[in-house]
Amino acid sequence: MSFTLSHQAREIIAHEYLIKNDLAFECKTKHNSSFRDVSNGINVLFEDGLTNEQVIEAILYHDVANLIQNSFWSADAKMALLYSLAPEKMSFYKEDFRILVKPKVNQMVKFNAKSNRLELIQDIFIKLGINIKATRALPIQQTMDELVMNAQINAPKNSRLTYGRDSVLIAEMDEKLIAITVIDYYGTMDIKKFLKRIEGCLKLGRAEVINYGQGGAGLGGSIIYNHCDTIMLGCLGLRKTRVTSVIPYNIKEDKYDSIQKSICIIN
Amino acid sequence: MNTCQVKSVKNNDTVEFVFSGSIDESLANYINIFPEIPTMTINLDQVISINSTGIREWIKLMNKVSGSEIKIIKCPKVFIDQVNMVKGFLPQNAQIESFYVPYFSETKNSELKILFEKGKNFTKSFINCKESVTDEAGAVYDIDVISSKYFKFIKG
Repeated sequence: MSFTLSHQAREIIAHEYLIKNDLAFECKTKHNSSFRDVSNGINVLFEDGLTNEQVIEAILYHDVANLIQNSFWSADAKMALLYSLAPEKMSFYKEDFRILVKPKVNQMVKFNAKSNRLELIQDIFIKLGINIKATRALPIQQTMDELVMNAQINAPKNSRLTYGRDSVLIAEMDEKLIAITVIDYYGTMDIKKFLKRIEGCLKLGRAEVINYGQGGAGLGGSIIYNHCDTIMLGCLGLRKTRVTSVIPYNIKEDKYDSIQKSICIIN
Repeated sequence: MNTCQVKSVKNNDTVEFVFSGSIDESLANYINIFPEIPTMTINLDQVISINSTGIREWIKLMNKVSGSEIKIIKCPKVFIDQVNMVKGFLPQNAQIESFYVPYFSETKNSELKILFEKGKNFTKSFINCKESVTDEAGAVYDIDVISSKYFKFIKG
């Protein structure tokens, strides 16, 4: 059974939601009001103009599970995805659940702790038709590297399992966005800790939070967050972790500065 | 599985270390090959990326060679980004001699990486940077970095 909603289904869900709540905002223009919906177990806050630090704070300290802002990936598309997940959140953890509605490229590869990470990423880049050495490919390359490394090194280390199922790297690409997903079957991500480290980097600088001991350097989350439009996080304790980062592709460096970030916690 | 490769080449009185691939946790395997010598050159021309563990291992490497005068050449954008973002990533005993500046043509959907060299394109107090350049066919390429952020490291 596929859990991937059709484009039409998502549009219907989004349209019904927006009409019902009188929130038919036009996402191509600036929307200046905010709203919060805690019905249907969705717990979403729509905002506009928050800084990267404020987004993290809203999730960490203000009981918000999903903070949505307009950006390169429009708020209505994000809302549609969230509301499509509301009836069955477990869909998010399925390997066939896709983030983008109409990806022109959709690739999935399995890997384990012994896989050569650089070769794995180079292979995905070839399938996406992107030159890995292009400067504009850096956000995608760095995001994939951090996510795969986490599943290869940190997740097994934090797990009681000595052997886990192969992890999965999924790359979806449409005309302007790339969604990169890694699912691992260790389920050891501490989402709060992950976000706290990003907060530390934003407040103190990366140099101050580097872990010089064993394990990760503690900078991976900051690198992923720095590049993303939206990050979606979910962890089923000791079963699965899914992290998806949606990144605008092939845009000028200065446009990255205008990204209004969103975070979704799907638990 | 070393995704980061380091090779040493002796050049007259100095040693050049040529990095390639992705600077990551596998850089730890090479830290001991760096000798305590007065001067060395690090060539980053073939570096594709740096990840979070690579940032940490690079800082460890810089601490190990703190007694050497280090010239770093052909730095890709990913390296310059870290220099600008991570305090201590470029220690006092290391100098950037050349680095790449990316330019992009939206019409051709193609990129030019222009090498900026110390003394020619920049000094501590000066940078000669064009907002756009033209290739042999006449296509215009615009600078694809935020100058105020990207060149911040030059002034230290």
